[in-house]
Amino acid sequence: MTPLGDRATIAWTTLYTRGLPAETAERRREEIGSDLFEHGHEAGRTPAQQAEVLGRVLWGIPADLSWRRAARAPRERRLVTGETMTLRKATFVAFVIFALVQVWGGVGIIGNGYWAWGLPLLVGAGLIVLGLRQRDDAPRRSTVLLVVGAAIPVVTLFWMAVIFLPVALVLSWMAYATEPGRRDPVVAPAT
Amino acid sequence: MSSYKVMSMRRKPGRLLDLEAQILAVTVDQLVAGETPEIHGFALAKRLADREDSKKLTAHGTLYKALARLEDAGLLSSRWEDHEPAEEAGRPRRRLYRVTSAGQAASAVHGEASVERSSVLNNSIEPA
Repeated sequence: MTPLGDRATIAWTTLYTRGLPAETAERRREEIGSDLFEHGHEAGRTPAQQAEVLGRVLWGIPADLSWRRAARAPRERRLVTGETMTLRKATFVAFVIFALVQVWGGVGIIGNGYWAWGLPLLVGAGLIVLGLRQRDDAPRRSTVLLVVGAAIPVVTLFWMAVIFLPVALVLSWMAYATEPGRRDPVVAPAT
Repeated sequence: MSSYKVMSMRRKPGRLLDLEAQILAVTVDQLVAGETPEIHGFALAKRLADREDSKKLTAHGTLYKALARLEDAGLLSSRWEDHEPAEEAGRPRRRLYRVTSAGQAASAVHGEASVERSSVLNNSIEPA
């Protein structure tokens, strides 16, 4: 029967590799399986050895979770950014919502005949869409487009700046903070 | 502080974490000593513990995450060993790691930087 420490390790590994690409998950499970075997073979599966196995699992949990998060991201993104994907997703969603609000407002205002106020909002929404599309290909340009797109309602509907200014500031910060490649590779080969 | 090593999530660009530097040092030592240039995860954990004169082995998650990052950065390469030796020995296949030339260079640069830092520190605490 498999000892408790090994069983717990296998169960944990199965859990945190669930939902990852099959090759990545399989590799990690096999590696841990090999490690458990070698450890047990070398030290003997005594209660002390199993306690050590449990310790290795418990202390490694934060790293396992962090590895899982990274393993779910595309390799290129994993190498060039250190940002959390959660913030990146939140930024994307926030900008999409803000663009929709601008389209809705712009169409409504134009419908009432105020082209000079409605059209800039549609342009702002367009800039946001463009910025989101260029996020990975031209990160800096994308950030500029997003910031300008978020700022347009502040200028156009200036009497409502008390609402739009804080929103634009938060969105601009999010665009800047999640700009792909803003952080350097975590481990760079020496040149 | 625990002898289990837990990696921090943020570091300066181009800097190796202590654990990453130690992993590279072990793989480079292995190469220099003319031993088999490849090493598997558990053997690496043992070597790391020996280097620190510690009985505790690096946590699974910490070790394999560091190995994955070093491999992603091109400082290590890895492969599965062939089925035959594993089957003959009646054990699971091992994932074998080997330091790359970029890894050797990074290890050397890290070593020089560490020596420089210690000499600056020593000079600053030496009595005038």
